[in-house]
Amino acid sequence: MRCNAETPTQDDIDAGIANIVVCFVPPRSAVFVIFTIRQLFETQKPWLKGRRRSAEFQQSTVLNLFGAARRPADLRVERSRKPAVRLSYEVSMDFWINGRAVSVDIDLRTSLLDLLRDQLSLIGAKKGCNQGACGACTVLADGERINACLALAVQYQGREIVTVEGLADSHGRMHPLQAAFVEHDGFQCGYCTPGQLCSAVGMAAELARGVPSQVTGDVAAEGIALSRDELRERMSGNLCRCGAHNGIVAAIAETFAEGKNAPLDLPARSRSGFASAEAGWRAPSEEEKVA
Amino acid sequence: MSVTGIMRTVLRYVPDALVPGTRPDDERVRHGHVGKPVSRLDGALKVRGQAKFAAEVAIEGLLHAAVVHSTIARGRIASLETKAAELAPGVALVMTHRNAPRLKAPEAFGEGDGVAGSNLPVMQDDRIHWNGEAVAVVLAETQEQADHAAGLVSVTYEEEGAVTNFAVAQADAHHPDSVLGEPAVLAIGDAEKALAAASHRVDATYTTPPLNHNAIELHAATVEWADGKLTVHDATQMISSTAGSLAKVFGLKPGAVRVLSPFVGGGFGGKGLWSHQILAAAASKLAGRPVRMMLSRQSVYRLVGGRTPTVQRVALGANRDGGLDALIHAGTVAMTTHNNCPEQFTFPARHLYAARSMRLEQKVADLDMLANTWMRAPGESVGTFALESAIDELAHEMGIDPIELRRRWEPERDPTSHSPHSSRHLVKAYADGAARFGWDRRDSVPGRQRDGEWLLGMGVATGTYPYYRFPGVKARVRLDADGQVTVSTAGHEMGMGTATVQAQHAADRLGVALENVAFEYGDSDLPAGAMAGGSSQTAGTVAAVTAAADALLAQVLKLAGNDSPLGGLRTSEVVARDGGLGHARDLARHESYGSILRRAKRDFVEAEETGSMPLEQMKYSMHSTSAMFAEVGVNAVTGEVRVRRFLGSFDCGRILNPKTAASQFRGGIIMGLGLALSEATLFDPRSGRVMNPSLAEYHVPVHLDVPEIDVMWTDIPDPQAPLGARGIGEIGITGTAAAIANAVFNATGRRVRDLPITLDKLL
Amino acid sequence: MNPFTYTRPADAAAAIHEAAHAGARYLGGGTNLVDLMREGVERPAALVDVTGLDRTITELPDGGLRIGAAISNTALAADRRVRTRYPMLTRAIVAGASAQIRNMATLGGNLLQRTRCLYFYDDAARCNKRQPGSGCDALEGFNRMHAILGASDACVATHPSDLCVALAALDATVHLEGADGKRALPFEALHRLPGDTPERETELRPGELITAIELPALPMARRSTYRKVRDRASYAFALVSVAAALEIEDGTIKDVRVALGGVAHKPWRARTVEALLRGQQPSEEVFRRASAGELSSARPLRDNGFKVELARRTIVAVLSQLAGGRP
Repeated sequence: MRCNAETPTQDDIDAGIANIVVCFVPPRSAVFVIFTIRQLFETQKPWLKGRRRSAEFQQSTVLNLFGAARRPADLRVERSRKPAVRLSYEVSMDFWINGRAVSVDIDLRTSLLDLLRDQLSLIGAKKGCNQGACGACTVLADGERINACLALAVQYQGREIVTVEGLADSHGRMHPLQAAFVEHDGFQCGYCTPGQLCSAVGMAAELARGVPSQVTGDVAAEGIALSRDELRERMSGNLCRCGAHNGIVAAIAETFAEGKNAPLDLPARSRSGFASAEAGWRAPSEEEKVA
Repeated sequence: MSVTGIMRTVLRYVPDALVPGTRPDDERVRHGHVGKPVSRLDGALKVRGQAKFAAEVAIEGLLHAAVVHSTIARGRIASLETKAAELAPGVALVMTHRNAPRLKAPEAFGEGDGVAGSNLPVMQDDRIHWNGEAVAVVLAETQEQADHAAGLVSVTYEEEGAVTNFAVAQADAHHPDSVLGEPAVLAIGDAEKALAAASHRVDATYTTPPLNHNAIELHAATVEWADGKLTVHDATQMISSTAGSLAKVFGLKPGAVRVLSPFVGGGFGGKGLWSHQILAAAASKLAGRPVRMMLSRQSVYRLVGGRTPTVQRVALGANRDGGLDALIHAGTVAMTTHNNCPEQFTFPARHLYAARSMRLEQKVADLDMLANTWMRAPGESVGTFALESAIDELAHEMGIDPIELRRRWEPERDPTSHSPHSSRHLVKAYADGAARFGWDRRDSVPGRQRDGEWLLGMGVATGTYPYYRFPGVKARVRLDADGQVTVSTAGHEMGMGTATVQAQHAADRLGVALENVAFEYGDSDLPAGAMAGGSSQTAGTVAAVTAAADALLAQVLKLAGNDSPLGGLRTSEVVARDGGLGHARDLARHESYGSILRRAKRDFVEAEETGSMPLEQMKYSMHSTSAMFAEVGVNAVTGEVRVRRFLGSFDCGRILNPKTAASQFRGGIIMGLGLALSEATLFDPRSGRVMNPSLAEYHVPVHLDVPEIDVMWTDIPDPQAPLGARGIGEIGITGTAAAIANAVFNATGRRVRDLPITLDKLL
Repeated sequence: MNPFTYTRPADAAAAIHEAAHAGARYLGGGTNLVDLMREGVERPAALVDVTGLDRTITELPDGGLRIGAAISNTALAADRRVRTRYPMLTRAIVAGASAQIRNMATLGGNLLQRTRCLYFYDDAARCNKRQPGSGCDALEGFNRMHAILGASDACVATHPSDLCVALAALDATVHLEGADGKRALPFEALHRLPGDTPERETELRPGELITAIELPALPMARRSTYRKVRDRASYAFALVSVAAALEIEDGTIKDVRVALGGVAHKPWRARTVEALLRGQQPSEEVFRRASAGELSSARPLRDNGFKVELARRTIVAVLSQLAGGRP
């Protein structure tokens, strides 16, 4: 199979093209070129001529509906915790997600991450490792950042879950941190970004509460300065492979500099109680419910 | 002399004007948008969590897939028990070689127009070729059910002797037929003899480990069959060719496979055509339902290749004046018999320095392993580690500043092809970088600078990456009567800034505002685009868009006719500006596109063209270079290494968008930081199995590892490159590991020649 | 992941009752157990969620603290009393994992987390801990992360916790409750060395629940610290870690506590170091001799020989730092 520009490929046309390659293209790229030239010939064919727009390019904005009305931060809302009860294999569970009540029948093995992504089409939380090693799945539970991939959904019933879709305000305006990420180019591919954002919001709350970190000079001291090293250490649970670290840290530093912005007012819970098919979130299909 | 050598020689005497691809940047194009730090246009979608990746496409009736992997490296499947899995709740199908649809083997990169990582048939027989190969695929209603049932498939094997020890396999290493078209052995003069006679010598062996891309997005494909056609929502950096390859594998007509990939969560060379897309499509066909296959992180390590390990000898011989009498760079990498990626680590040495004699040699050792593949700057990343470390060793031994030594070796022409440089300003990059970094504050005697427990050191190294532009890239440009411009090409946006930069380019090329440009990409139904590889996409796409725009503007001028202020003008006399066409010098003569199209009773005009043949890279030696500066601290107690400061000073032609370009440079440097200090895939030589298939045990740099990274550039346009720009996606990783290793030496006096530089090597 | 049943009892008695079912496991934050279930290493038939149990910190009459086992790592590390009285504990906790994981993980779960040995995680490999009697692929394999102290031919795995290293140094007490009633164990007696039964990692009896940890009053712990050495700056398991407290009176070492992480199958209380230091005048030389004494029984493997020197150096550096009055 060794690639060799001099070796004719499957048919005569290919062989001819291969020879063209040898003549006209710098040799180091010859191996790439054989196929691209063939493409060039093939794409002359009429089936590729038509003008078709990429459906995927037109992004849906339906998820934005989850950015529900805000209210003053009050974390001590009553919980819908259930008493000790043996649950069967697949059960009905109730969640508060981005201010909305959600009720679903799911497999007990379902992680909070899969619940969000597969059942509720809240794709903002990302799956990068599914083992608590990358932070792409970070969401807020009662204002605390957690790895949704390691969280069994059943344990998070009744807790206030906020995903990246819930960071915008009720008018759909981006959280200042989101705007800062764009301004400072705090991402490239955008895959770790929702996790970085949720993590940073949770981190700001931890800093405000005086939770120390491994780079804190005196862990007994009251109040921790928002140094770059503190930010870096505290964000180290969120990997970024594109290497947008500098932009991420700059965006966070700017957003949460000395009382500039509160971490997040959690969205108010919907007054309408549990609802399963409101606009903006999709009920699980029959297929998804199959035991 | 080879055919290509003859072509190079001939082209040298042909004027630029007659050589396609040369002098491509039309001076009539203004750069109002190009060069501006425009924030990425898809930024809002990404920070809102609304960018939809391959595993996030919702299709009614979707089945979820899980993969069962082999646990031996070579042999055959003796027994395969799938009953328990088939009976498990929610399971729709268990696919093995026994029931998989009959498929053609994919063509590997370099074969025909193939782009697959390997040319092995996918799940067609009972043979096992590497430890981790897929032996079964389970489809179920939920991911939990599929994962559970995959654990119920039991397989036994008849094991055959496998070659899984790179150290042992090196004894049978051989020359590959070619190294990406270049000869595996290249000799100028008698380098060994010159080395022996040199007044100053360095002769050392450097090793680099296997590495994995570890894009944070897991490889995923959501596939659907309808009316004999296959749609694949893929995470790929080669859309058009993946569609073509899949069509062949499934025996379909070209065009019967559509690949969509509007967002890719990081690629770095790893998001190509591997077995999982084929398995997903095959299983979907068998089950008669759409399928989502999102690999687990472990499955990514088992099914998607990474960077191969290298063992490299670099020997340098210099005369008393510091002239380079001998340059030897030779070594071996691991490869398989079913792919062709020889990790071109000798490429930097072919182009960087004026050596009086040279011997460059690459060998491959065949292993029974998952096919290795391209990973960010394949070759140059690890090749510069060896070469640039050796230069630092030589400079130290000679008592010469390493920047000065490199300055003395600056070649007038390409040292091996003898072609003239299109544009090379490495000396300036060094001078500018040294001034900004404060290189004059470096103490050339190692081990003397200290900050508490931390020994401090500075290091420098050259980075380099070739300019590539591949032929056959097409683009379509459409101009609507309302002045809206749509540029379409099946290109890729993995975060490089493609969509943003191409919109900037199109705005300038057509003389319209940025808001009036839409850039369509990520769909194989669009005109065949450049692949996102070889740092080539920007140049390739710009050339294609330029060709299409020229054709379009010629049409528009024709439509304008004689009733227009443009009447009687030839295409060479008009420029696109202010939302229309105008005379190049007479500003009064102008007509808007809307006016022209309305008068001609046209709703839109469009043109589709292929970029010029890229002969510029044959006539000229076209390479980007960089001067990389690192300052490290090495803990005197524990041996821990921390990069304190880093500066990359680049010569990459014109920078089209300083904001997104800086991110590309930094991203490469940070991956280089991981290469230098922490990354390694642990390939167990006893079993051929990757033992750390996890982001917990494969250490990519975390935030606390990453200091502020400064980047700067010469911004001198390359006269032979479209828009004057050479690609920038890969050069950042090159030279970085050497700069850090050299800084570690400066801090400690310890020379680590084996990556990664973990603390145990410094105790 | 195998299917399982789930309960969330309201008190310890109910939890212990639930855990009597075959294949039942207590579930804390899930940060380790859920991962291992996904890998097929753990296959519980029933999960008993104990995160609703006691998570309070109460003062003991003598100045010590009693900490409910359901407390999260973050809450424990951030508690003002813990930060001031036992800074090594706070430092050990925040040196572990990531903030997200610390927010989820519980104290009780942390004590029971399992090794990160690569061969333990891969069910294609031989592992006596995962599959007793199958052998140990780490002995001749990648064992850079593995034990240098107290290991056996059956198992060379290390305990991955940071928090536990501090608890070992602090002489904590573990409170347990089971079908047979309540009992307490000195922390050091909780974890086992591998011997011939590496699958038995603790002295817990079947169904026994960790309900609380008691930290004794220990004024010297106000000047204590934790230092972790690893392969990247954060978010990685320890190669070597040292928890230490030092009390110097009239120029001699009155009392000292040292425990090591990353070197053994259990958090390693460095009793030899302590014995060699008590009554001595603090100096780097004395620290060096003491640490060498502790490491004299080290049995390094192919890849982890460096840990012997690294542990020696880190112990000396931490004790020197404390002797110099730096926290």
